[in-house]
Amino acid sequence: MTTLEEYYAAVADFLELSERVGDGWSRFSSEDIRSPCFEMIRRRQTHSRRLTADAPPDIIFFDYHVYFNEAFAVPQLLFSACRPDGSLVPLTTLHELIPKHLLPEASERELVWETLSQIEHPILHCPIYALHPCQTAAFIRKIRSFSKSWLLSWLSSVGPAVGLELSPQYGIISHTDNITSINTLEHPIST
Amino acid sequence: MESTHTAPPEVRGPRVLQFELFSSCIDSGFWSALTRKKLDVYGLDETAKSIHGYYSIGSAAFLPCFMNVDHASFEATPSTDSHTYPLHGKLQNFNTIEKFRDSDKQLITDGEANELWNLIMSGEALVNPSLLSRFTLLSFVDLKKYIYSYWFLFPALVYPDALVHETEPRPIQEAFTGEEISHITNFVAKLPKEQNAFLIAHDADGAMEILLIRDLPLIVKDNRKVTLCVCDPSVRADNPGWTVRNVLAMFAYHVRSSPEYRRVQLVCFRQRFRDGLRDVSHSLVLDLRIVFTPNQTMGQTLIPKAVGWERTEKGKLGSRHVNLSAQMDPKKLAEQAVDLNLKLMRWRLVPELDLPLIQRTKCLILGSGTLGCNVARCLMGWGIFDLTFVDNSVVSFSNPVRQSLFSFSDCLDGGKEKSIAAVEAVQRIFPGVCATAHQMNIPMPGHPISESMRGKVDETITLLEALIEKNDVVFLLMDTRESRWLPTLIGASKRKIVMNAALGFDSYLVMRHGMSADGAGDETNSKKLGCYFCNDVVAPGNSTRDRTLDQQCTVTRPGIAMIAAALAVELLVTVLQHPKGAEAPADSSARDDYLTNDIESPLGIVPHQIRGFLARHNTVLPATTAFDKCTACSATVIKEYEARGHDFLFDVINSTASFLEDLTGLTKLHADSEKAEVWDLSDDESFAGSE
Repeated sequence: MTTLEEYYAAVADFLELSERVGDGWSRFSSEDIRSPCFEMIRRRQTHSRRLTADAPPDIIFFDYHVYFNEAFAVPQLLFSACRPDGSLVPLTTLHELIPKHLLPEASERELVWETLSQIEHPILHCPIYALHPCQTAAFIRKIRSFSKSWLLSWLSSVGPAVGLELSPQYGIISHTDNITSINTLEHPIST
Repeated sequence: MESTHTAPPEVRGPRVLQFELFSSCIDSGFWSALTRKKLDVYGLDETAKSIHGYYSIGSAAFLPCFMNVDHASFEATPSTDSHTYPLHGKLQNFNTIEKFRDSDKQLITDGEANELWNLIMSGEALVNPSLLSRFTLLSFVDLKKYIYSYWFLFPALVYPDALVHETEPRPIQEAFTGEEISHITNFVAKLPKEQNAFLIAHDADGAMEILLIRDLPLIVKDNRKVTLCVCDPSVRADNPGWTVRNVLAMFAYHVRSSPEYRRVQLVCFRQRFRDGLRDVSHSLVLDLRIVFTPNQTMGQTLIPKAVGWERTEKGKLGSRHVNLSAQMDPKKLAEQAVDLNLKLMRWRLVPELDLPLIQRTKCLILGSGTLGCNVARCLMGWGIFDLTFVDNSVVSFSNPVRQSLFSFSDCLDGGKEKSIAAVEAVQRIFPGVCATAHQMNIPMPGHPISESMRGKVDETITLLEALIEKNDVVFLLMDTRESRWLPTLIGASKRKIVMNAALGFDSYLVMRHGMSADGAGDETNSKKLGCYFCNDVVAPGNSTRDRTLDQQCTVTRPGIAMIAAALAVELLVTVLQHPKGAEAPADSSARDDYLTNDIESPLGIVPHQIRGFLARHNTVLPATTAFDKCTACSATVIKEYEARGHDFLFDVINSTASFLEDLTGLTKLHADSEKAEVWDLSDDESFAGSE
């Protein structure tokens, strides 16, 4: 269980780190926010690949959002990906596209993918995929016992399964701030 | 002129500066926000609306020069972060595709040119240079097919006549010292976002001063050497991005009467983060010569032309179209969400679950009452959406409280036909269903048919046969025993899974009909399970005769139908997941190990029958083998049906119960058992007599 205040504090700490890393996480707000829980953070990640050397690059924008899931009282990671014309990329394509090496065990990635559900984005009202939050509370309880930036630890554990890239710079900055290295953490699914 | 001589590519003569046009990049949130605006605010209003976009000066290498619109584009103030700069946009959303297509593009372009020129001449853009970063978006939204048509204009003035490269573009480090670069970088970091361009004034002693662009006239007046700096969205090594073009036009306009400013140094300022550090090393320095036409240096200049319509993905001048039904059509969204939700079951609980097998199963639901309604709902829960409803009556006032697909309005005006009301209900619940309705009276033994009705009944039987043929599963959920006889027989003949549920006041029976491993009616296969009629030693007849009303109607505790319906569906799904499918052997509570033995279906054991007694909350799982004299599924009956077809069926329907009993040998069995009873009595008597 995480309280809303703890979530806000963790978000503020994380955004400060992100600012130093410069990877573009930002607060995500909207004029029609109805509840404070909707204070989200967001990051866009551009993925481009060339199928052949002279073909124009195939560009996909990944969108990662974190919001506070009231029912489970934990942060929840949402993601989607769209092409430059705004059309969403189907889940099966994303599954092929997202590199498998981001997690040490390929099976861990599959476990995360089995938990995806589709929800309506709380602010955008467009469909977005959500990682199931039911294991998050136990994981966060565990990491909070030794990690100060638990939001980062959690993100760096579940995010790679859905393609989220977090710069190694986070580890360096966190380490110099005397925080446990993110790489030593156990994956939430395997708990 | 044809020439075989080609110059070496590295030797480049004087050439005209070109700009990389923006590539539109629309976030999916933009389309949903536009859709809501169209529905809730704009309605039929076609006038231009002010919206915002943004561009980044920190794109990764090889990416086009993107401009973005997203959900926040419709908000009152533009939102930008540390890497992004605002674009001022106009949205013109047309009501019809024709108006969108036929709108006067030249008029729009000229209007934009006029506005840009006024901003420059009035000096307004000197104070706020970002006003020159503009776009116009023409759109048409087809809210039935969710096809979005759009065309972006990024207006840029064709002014001055040309800008010519004096030297090759070079990286910023070759023109400025590290100290100067960090000075510039720090200045940019503190600039408000509407200042996307600024100036560096160089003094004779080499000192440099960074100034806002509004100071340009002053610098020109003082005749100081100047470098123009523009925040540049492009990443190309050769060209600046599109926003630089209007800033250069403004610069040229303000220096047009000062020939000493015809040579200008341009810095295309770019920065991105790399390993936590600002990196500006891909910024460019260009030395340019401004070329005016004679008219352009005169006091009275004509309004320049504007250019900047985006091309299609194929490079043609024209609008783009995107089909967003997969993300905007609520029906498709519901289908995707239901599918993903079911997949969650496989996550940890039942990893070996074969969902596609379940979801492609087609079900024929005979009887759309309490059982039929609840069975349909439970099937939909499993993602089974190919449903065929059959019933013969209408929804009456007592039905909706128990029959979970119906509501009060279905009872009005004489009542809606149940199969039709059921289809309408499941379509309301989930538009992705493929549901059909058939109102029909299933012919029954003991309910004779007059000769005049024979043709019609014949058609009914043909339809029922066709329905059973095209489905994988037949649910027998009617309110009489004898109406189950014909579908039991056809189902056995066609080797379909037949699920059966029947209710008492506080008890229920849920069962699957047996299917032999080696074809219908193979009597040598002793493992074949029985059907609903196998345990009976009388043929089905008219059970509604000589009964009180409470016996004719199924008067049951309301929960019984829900329990039985749910069990029938769960039993079916368990059977489908069993490696042997419908031929799975029965697990029975009569066997001591039924709670501990290995389970073959991932969902659990597959009983033959589930009999429940609510009064004692007791459930038993009997299993019975097929009866070789069964009036519905025995080889004799199936062979007779397959040989004589409808003639045989009419014989059964129109004759007394003894017809089937004679055929199957039940009559002989009755006679034999009567003899046995006589013998028993004699034994007793003789035994007693000997005492």
